[in-house]
Amino acid sequence: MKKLFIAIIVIAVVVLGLFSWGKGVYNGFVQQQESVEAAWSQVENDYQRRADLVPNLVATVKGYAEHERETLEAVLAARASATQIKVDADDLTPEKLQQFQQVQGELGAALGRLIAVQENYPDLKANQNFLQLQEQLESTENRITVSRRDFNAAAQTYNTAIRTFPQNIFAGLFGFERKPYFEAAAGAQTAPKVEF
Amino acid sequence: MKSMTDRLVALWLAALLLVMATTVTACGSEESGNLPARTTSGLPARPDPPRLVNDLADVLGDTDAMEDTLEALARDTGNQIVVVTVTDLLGLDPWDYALQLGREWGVGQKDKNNGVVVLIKPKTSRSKGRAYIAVGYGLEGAIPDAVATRIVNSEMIPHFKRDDYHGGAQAAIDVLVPLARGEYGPDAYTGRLSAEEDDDDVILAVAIFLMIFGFVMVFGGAAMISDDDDFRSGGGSATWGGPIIFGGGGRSSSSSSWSGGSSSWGGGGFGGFGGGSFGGGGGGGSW
Repeated sequence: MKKLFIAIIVIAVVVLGLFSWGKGVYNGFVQQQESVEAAWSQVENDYQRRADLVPNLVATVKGYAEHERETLEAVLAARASATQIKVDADDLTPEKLQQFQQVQGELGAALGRLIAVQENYPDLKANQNFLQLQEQLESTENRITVSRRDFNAAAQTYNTAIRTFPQNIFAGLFGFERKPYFEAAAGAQTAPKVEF
Repeated sequence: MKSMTDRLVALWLAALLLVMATTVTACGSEESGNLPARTTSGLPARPDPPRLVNDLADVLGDTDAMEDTLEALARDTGNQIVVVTVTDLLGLDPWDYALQLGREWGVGQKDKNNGVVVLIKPKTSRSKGRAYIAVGYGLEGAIPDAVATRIVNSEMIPHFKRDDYHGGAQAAIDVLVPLARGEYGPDAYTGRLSAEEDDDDVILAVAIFLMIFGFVMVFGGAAMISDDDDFRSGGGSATWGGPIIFGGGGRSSSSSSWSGGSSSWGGGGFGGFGGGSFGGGGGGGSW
């Protein structure tokens, strides 16, 4: 009788212990997932901010550089396809992130060519409005760099957590999946970086 | 015999509990420990005791007054403006250096992200001088990127070009502090700047006018000599009232209201950084 009693207590304690451990782990995952999602929405905000600059920039350049029709149209086309792709934070598959990164990269490259046009148009280069837009574009690119870095950091923390034994058992059980990373564009990583 | 098994069971139970407890705490510490544990190598360490003006390049001279102004701002509004001079940007872009330093030190309050980092890298014979104002998320409205860029280029760099680092830093503080206090908005600041540019135009116009006037005087005067003294008596310019000065309330000293002395500042001085974050906002320039 006493044995049975002890056995029940042991089982109860084990179950309770497992439960509280599982609860802690699960909530930790949720919390980290939240921070990945927050980081993702910041990424989207910053890319949107860049897309919002495009119409003004195109209009300004157009006034000075009519002949650059091709460059201007390339920017508008790249913007259109970039703004079409929206990725939900809870649906971040590697394929989707790569697609997102690709269209945004194309917009970035097209904008780079648009800014380079100024070399041939001294009037444009001196235009106050253009200068301001260029400044805004630069600081927006900075923001994008930061939010991508933050996203990768959050994703890494989360990925490490869900893949560490023994928590990974829970991750599999409750369907916590690995988040993809932003990859550095080729040639973009030339400056030595201080790593977090 | 029975008591032996009981004891064994009890022992086993205790061991199990111990293992569980350590696992749970280990998980807990892992969760909370992961985020802030990231450290940067090479960035200057957070000043201890905390200071808002950190002249690591030793170019600013006497910084006590600046420190006092910035401490008063932090006390009154919670907004933390840090001035840092460094000799080496570690190969980073100025904006990135300022951002990482701001995050590392935790400039601004955690829930408000209301910090500003004014970074100055003096010019040397081999490298350009660089300045950057990094603005925390929470102050991007009060100090937009364009304004930060203007402050660097119009207030700071003219001083820096004359090797007057103290004056440049002071000039930035003179604009940033009222902006951070909300005494005037960013548009008022840019408006004031362009008004100054307009002032230049006015001065030019007056100069041209005076030149023409003088010209007329010299040449026309000869013709008028035969007349009465009308001309001279009329030109007394007694109605000139002097320039009208706008916006004199930039730093009314009455703003040092010690609203309910927050005790956390521990007897004057600056109490410490709050863990604010930065998102890449701000502006800068080089010379």
